[in-house]
Amino acid sequence: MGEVNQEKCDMIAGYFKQYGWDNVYAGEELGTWQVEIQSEVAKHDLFVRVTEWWIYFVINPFCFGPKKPELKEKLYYHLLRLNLDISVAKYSLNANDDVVISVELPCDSAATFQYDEFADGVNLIFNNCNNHYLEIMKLCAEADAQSKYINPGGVDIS
Amino acid sequence: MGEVDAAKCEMVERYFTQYGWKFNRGDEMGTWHTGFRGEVASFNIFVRVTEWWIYFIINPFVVGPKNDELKMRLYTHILRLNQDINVAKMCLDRDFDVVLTVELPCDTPESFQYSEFEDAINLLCHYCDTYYLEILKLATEAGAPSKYLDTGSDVDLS
Repeated sequence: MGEVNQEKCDMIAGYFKQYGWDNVYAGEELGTWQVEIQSEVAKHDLFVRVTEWWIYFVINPFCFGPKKPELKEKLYYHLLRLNLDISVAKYSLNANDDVVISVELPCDSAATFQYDEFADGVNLIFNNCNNHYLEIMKLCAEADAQSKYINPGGVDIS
Repeated sequence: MGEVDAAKCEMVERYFTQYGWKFNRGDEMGTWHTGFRGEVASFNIFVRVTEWWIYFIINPFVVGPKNDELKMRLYTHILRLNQDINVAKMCLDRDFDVVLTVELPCDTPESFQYSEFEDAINLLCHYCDTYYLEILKLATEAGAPSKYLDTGSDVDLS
């Protein structure tokens, strides 16, 4: 049965090393870790958590939400359209309306969760950081930022 | 290496049968149509395997708002919801319809177990039953409640 146990945690810690990361901090709660990662455009704090059945890779916040309310609708539409185009990863909002990116994979036992799947989870996060961070950052901050999904008139052009 | 082959397709069809659901094959290899009757509505599910992933998609989950004033509340709600739901995600398609998906790794028949298939279907059904009505209301009724937004001032209460 899936559980958060030392064996599963040791496995994940080993996968971090196998991925080439030494600067990983174990959280206070068993089964949580934090590591600073650097994509092609920015640094991010990546949180990793295992539960009984799942492993979560989360950057929260990925981008601070817009200060100006008028920027929100274009951003939110963009994020939700992007969610349909990207595999497995998803964009969401936290309680501060900051943008969050997460990847969630099944991880019920140390026997079934292989290193390849761990690497897939991390690589999905990196891909999104490299491919989408800048565009999302601009949509959060600039009124004239473009979304590939809508034209200035608000019509979906994808 | 992952690929869409007969073995992987046979596995998915075997899992459908094991789950007790009928299905129809899609025109393209590695695609199926199925559906279920939830507590408040019926849903059609499109299932697709690729080289690396399996997708369970309900599109549309909720038809998008006809009234533009409803979009902001709806988008905010489902982006906040994305952070609360596990593994599944809400998206928008180009018709502004809300889409619900579950996406899992599926590179070989050996690595994708029946329990993961079962989890994906169970999660999809659970989220349909739990969230369909509230999202439908947000897409159709001004002032529909959102646990993430105050009905008056759009202040986040969660």
